[in-house]
Amino acid sequence: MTRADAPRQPDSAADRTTASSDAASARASAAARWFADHGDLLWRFALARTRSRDVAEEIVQETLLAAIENMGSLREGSSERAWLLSIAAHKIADHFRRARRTASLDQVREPDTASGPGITGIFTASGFWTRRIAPWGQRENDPGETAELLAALRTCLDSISPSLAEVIWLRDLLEVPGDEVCKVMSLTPTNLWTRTHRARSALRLCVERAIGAAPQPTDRPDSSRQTDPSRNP
Amino acid sequence: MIRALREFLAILNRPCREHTEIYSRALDGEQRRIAMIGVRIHMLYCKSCRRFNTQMRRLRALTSRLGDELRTGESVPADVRERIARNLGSGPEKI
Repeated sequence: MTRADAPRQPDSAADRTTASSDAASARASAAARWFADHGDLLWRFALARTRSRDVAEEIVQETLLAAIENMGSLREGSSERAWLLSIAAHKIADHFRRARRTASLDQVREPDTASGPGITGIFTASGFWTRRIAPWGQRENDPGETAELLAALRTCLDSISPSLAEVIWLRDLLEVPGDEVCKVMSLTPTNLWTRTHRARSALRLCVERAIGAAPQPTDRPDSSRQTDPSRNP
Repeated sequence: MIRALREFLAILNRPCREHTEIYSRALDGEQRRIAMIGVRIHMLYCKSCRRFNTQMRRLRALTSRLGDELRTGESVPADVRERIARNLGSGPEKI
């Protein structure tokens, strides 16, 4: 490439000012469009999670400003909606972290371990139940049970680990397609599924505790269960 | 045929944890039919898997219901919309 073919660089203070002004204008215009297209969803998301209109306003604004600053991270083929929701999820997690620090609340959180909260402890090392699962949540047509589970779910969506909650919010509440969630969270489909299962299991465990469903001791020790047929051809 | 039968027997003999994982994946429609047949047969005689999977399905449906409320909920109030639009127009340095 000859010097004449090279892109023209701003060579004066006036050029640089104009370029900077154009870029700022483009960013502001993109943010205005994102706000018009996705503002309502971001607002509902932030309001549902924080239950405060002031905080929700702050989150929506911070989300759009962060989006402006990080326009380059919007990957080709990725949806703006999922990308903005992911940024908002991070802002909400930051908010809860700040709130916990401020209030010095020692909120109980499940550790985000390899096997995951809600899974560890209920299975033996070989994958069988350590205890019988309590019989809650089996009456789909019982409005009382449904109301109790919904209330527990709302609480538990705030109390499981933020990294797991983000998956539940994006996939199950906002129904962002799996491939889009993979893009915005930089996960492979397998990792996304693993995290989704861990998140749902953590949520299930939290709900079980919230409604006071007591675990039951198992009556079938692991050693009496099945064996792997592949080892006995 | 023999291969399919072997695969099916292997599925039946999977530990409970794997049956719950297969069921969870099926909630998103990401599971092969033969694997789900194995899970359903397993659930006939494993009470804990039956309860656990029913709870996972129920919670998945209720979470989706919370999502419906979110999608049809309140729009950004006019005063909030105005403030945010004003701040966006003025750039991040004024926030």
